[in-house]
Amino acid sequence: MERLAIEAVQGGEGTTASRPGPYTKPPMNSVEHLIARARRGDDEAFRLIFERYSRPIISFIYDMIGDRAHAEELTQETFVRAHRHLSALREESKFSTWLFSIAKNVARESLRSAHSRSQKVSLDDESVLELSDEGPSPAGALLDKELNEVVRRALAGLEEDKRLVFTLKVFQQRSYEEIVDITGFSLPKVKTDLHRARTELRRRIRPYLGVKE
Amino acid sequence: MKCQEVSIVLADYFDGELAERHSQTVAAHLAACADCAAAYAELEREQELFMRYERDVEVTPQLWHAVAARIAAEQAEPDTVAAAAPLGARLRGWLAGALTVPRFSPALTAALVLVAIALTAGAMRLMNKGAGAPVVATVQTPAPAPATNANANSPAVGLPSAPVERDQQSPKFIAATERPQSQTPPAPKRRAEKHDKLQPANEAARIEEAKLQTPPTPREQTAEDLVRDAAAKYQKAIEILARDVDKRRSRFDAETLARFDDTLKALDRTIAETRRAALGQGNSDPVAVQYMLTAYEKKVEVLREMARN
Repeated sequence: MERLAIEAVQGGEGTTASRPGPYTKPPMNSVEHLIARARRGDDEAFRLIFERYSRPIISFIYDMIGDRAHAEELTQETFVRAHRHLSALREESKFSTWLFSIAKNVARESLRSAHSRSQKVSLDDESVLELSDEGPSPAGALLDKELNEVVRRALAGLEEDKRLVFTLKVFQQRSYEEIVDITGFSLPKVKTDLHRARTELRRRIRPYLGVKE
Repeated sequence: MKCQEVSIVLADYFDGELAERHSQTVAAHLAACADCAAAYAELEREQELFMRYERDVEVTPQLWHAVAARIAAEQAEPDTVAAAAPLGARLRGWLAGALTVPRFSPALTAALVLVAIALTAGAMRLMNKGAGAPVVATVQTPAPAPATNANANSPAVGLPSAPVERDQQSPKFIAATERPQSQTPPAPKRRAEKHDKLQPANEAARIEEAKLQTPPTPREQTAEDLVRDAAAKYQKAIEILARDVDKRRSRFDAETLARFDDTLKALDRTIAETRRAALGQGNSDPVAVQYMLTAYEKKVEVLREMARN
């Protein structure tokens, strides 16, 4: 949550675009300013962009892929593509959405490859139930390691579209509008997939929430 | 507001996706309804749990170094990378880069259209050569009614019943479909017919058919001839564009000109390196042909951009 808040301050979208009044030069180290510098070949500017967005991007890709080494490779690929096509970016204020859109494409391409399929985490309800059988404790007392495993497996068990929408909304805190832009899905599909993903995740993690059925 | 209505929009409310007025209505309901408030509290607990989720992944300095190295390689390409990488890797990388840039604009000169046709004819011929038996079989067993408007997808010509659109554009596909339909050529072939000097698609097919009827002669036009023809057309287009660019050099600053010259030198190196394999005596390498022609294409593109500015 903290890093997301930081990102929203540093690189979140609409911070400049939504500001009323006449055009003002982007402040130093705003994402717009960094993009302009990077376009002129300033490598340090692109490094700052990477520093700002690499954590949410690698998290997002990891949530989609479920494999650390692969997530690192795909994060690399995302930023290399972003650098390559930086001149094609029309709305600098939407850089973050654009970058996530690239990451989404990279992740989905990977998921469709045979390599990815072989590495994809095999998940079924049974494996989650095995964890449940070990005696889940309420959320407050749940060991982080166990929680991480439960969430990771629950995510991997979602259909790809639902996982995509859920990850963008719940982990990346993106608005519906941004999710529509990133995924290319219609708003009704985004809402439906998100609702179904939440329902499915709730079912899987309910034992850890200490909630009565 | 009823509980049922609230339950429908509760997640939207939680996510801050409701309009302010609607949001206030839901908030008022939650303040007065214990059941809906409990449902909201569950959403909060879920979110809290998800926020505690720690991924087995981190951003390391090595990750940035890897990104920076790849970017540097792309920027240097085909300069630094060209000097260090094996020829195959160099060419693959170059081709990948070349294919990401915009294609020819409608304003391109007529010479480039001729070149494109020559390229198609040459590549098609090469693919025919590589395709071997299946192509021969198609020619030897023409469609039952070749003079009619046979559909390119027709099973009568022994093709997949529903080829994807991209396949239909490929020289290989055109080569396989055109010969049995020589009386009713599709549009790309008609275009080729206007430029018979460039060995258009239907003529290549005709030659291929003739080869099946008569033994090959030493003077028959080979795949290498077609590639040479395509390369020659590119060289001609490059020559024309280079003259235009020379007239405009004074408009550019020194840095732009230096980059431009470096790019052309690098492209020339690529062309020189691939020409040997592409136009070797007797047996040209189809992959090298593709890379060489793409290098020519890229050079035309670079010159065109400079000539246009």
